Amino acid sequence: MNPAAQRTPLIAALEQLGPHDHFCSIYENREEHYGVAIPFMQIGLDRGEKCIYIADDGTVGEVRQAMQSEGIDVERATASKALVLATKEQAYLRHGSFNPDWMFTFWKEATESAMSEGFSALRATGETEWVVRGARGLERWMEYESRLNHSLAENNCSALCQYNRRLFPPELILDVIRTHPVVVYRGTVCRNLYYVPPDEFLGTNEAEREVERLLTNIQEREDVEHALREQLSERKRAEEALRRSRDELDIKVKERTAKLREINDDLQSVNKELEAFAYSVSHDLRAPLRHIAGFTELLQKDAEPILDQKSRLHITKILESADRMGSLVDDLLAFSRIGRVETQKATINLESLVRDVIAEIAPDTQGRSIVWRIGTLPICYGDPSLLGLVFTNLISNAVKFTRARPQAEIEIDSLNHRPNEVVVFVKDNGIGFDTKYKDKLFGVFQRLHSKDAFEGTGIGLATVQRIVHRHGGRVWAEGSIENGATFCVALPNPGDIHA
Amino acid sequence: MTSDVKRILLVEDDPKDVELTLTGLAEYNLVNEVVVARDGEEALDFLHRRGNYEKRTNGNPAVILLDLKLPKVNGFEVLQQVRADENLKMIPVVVLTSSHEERDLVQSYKLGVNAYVVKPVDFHQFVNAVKELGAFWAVINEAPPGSVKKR
Repeated sequence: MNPAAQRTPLIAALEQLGPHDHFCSIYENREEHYGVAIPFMQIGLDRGEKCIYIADDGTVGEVRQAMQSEGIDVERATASKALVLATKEQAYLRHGSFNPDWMFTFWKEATESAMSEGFSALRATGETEWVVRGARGLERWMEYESRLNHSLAENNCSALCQYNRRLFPPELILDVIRTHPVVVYRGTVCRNLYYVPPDEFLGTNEAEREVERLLTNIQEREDVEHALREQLSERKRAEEALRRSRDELDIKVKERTAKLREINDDLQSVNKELEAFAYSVSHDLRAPLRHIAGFTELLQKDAEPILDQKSRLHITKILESADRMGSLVDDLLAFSRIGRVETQKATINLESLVRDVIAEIAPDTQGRSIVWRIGTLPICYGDPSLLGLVFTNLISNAVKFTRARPQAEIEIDSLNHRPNEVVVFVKDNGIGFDTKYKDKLFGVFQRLHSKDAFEGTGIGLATVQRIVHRHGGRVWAEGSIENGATFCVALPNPGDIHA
Repeated sequence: MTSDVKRILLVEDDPKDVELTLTGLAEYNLVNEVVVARDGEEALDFLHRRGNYEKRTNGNPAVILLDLKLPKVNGFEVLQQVRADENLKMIPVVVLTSSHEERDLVQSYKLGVNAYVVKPVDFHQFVNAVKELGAFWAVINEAPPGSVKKR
């Protein structure tokens, strides 16, 4: 039996029952009959209990078949003594007539022998249709059923008594109901409100017993309804409290959100001011710069014949400086623009992006001996033009700082060590850097090499970092002097981006 | 210098930029055809024949080279008024500015500019740009009817 597939509410309820439980199944047809008895046995077998099925006259074969069709390996279970298919003659009537006292001894011994055989408990069920047909000693049957409650309380045994409602007279069924604390009826396991404990059931005063039973039921019913009402109002209180705390939480969240929004607005306006400042500084610097360069050029053109060598050199230096300042201003403008432009995100094939970048910087690599190693690069998600700028900067740097090498080696590959991000690195065998300055690398206008040795404004890596941060990623560098540098860019996986 | 040959209206407040621009235009001998307005108001006075330009008799300029950052009336306002005026709306207008900003670019085109040129920082590039602009708008391009005739 596949427990997950067939676990009905009835089976789940039956699983709650075990040793010491005494209950009856009142059935009206074959389906209800085996629908309770067979799972009851099955649960016992699954739990390592010894299971005894006491069949009526000539029904052993039918029971065996019913068990097999429910997936119980009867052959094996009986061979291992886990399952015993007995007849009423072998149990209830083994002395020819019925006697409750013998039966209690029988259960006691059967339980003990099951335990000594290594089973965890005894589980028994009996068919009772033969009781209607009559046998010697059966006038004590109901006494037996009632006293069985005491007997089971002392033995590690559970018992299911099966009654066909269509066969038994109502007076008998009435006593069946009175003697079983739990009743299974029409597929439901019910705690029995009408159960009467043995001492009372076996007492002589029928009227007193009825009065007691009614009073107990009235009181129990009231208790149950009271408990239900309590539970209901408790639930209402809990719901009310929950609603209140949810409302309070709502208010708090709203307050916090408002505060955050305020802070955000402030930050944004500060940012806007800063960007406007950066923009106008670089913008307004361009005009005087143009004038310096322009008029110096005019001077150079007009006055060259009358100037000495030294003065000509000075003019050249002025022009070089103006040119350099022009690059700085342009880079600064571009840098301030990164924060201002809206990103246009799309799925990017990094491999083709990197190959495009390498093709674009071809003028810088002409005449150089460079070994490119490009691994399998992942698909990532971001702004294609901004990420293009990132790799243009990193790859240009690699080309630039390997200039002194007779053979430059530049490797671009990915690391797949984290599932939620894409890590790509650009590694070169160039002049590297002192690792103690590695945090300074990404600052604006930070340079680790002299301008004479390597041109550049010192804004490239700041741009790289700013773009990567805008994508929710990280960037870092590893390297040492004369031993090359590796720049790593980690970008969140497409699936992890909620922007 | 007679006003009837003024075919290029240069609207520029920075005298140094004026000088550099004229240097560029000198290459095609266009200097004599340039009238310089130092701010937006003067440019509009010229176009509408008001104030100092009340007595002006010739037609519209063949092109306006317009800076955006100007005292009194800025370049956008000049552009807007030109495009709104029945007699002026056809004049080609070229924005000549230091601004790379996309919003300036977009705003200019929305207002109907004919070209948008960022002043290069590099002297040679600047002179070249101005030279090409002058050649195209004042020599190659056919100006709309009502413009000052070519010499």
